[in-house]
Amino acid sequence: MPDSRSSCRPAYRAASRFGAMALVMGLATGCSAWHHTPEQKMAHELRALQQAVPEHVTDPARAARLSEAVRGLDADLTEFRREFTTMREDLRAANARPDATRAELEQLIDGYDTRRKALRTRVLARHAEMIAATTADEWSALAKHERKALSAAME
Amino acid sequence: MRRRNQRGQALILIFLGTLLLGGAAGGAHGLFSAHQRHELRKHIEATVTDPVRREALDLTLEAMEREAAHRSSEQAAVEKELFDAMARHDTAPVVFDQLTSRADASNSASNRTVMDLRFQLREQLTDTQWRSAFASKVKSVPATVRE
Repeated sequence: MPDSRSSCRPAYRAASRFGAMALVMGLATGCSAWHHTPEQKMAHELRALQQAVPEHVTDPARAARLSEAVRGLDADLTEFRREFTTMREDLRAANARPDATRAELEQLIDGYDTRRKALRTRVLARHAEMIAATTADEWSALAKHERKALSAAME
Repeated sequence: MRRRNQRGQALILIFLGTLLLGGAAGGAHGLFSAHQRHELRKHIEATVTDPVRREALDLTLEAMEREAAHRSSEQAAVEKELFDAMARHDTAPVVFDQLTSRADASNSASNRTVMDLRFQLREQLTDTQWRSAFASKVKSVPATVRE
């Protein structure tokens, strides 16, 4: 009499292998979707802001002003992320040296802070430009996208 | 237990506004992220056995945690005001000036405190301990804007 468990084994093994592969692939694709980089999130939010402009601002001249401000914001936030990453790497490398002086660390921090404040001025000018190109109602629909883009840039 | 709670709070705090407000991850706070402070403490616990030195080091690490928590709570308050102001269409430009000036003053004071603590910690460790603490654990942590 054939062993029913033995006859089931190949099918069981194949199903197990398929299940395991599906799980691995699912995790891999799922994980990549969950773990977007801050740059990806920022780009996504800026795209959403850019796409929301013609939906909420029907006047073509004002919509063009807004789109230009969003492109500027994109460039500024990208520059900020680059500045921040460089500063953090330089600062940690210097900090790891036992002979690093206070003046040396302060110079790194002050240099970064000066560049950050210049970028902040630009970002707030972009914000003012967006406010000037919208009505209160239009802005209430767009503001959440600006906030999300700024938050993503600072992750 | 209190120390563990403080450490936990510092680890879970999320900082926004680094670009606009300076932030807890920028400036001198960038010297030690929450993860790095946690790893540094573990490294010190594993390598410094002298109880007197350990106590002094603990006090410095505690002060670092307190400053990070203080900075982040200040930051969270200003950040909320700033983002609320940005969401309103009728916010006067002077409001942004006031908020960023307030954040800059607070950053400046906090940076000085963190820098003092960094050099206090440096005094409490030998060259070899400092190098090994940062080379083996702290240096490998990836950079993030949020702490």
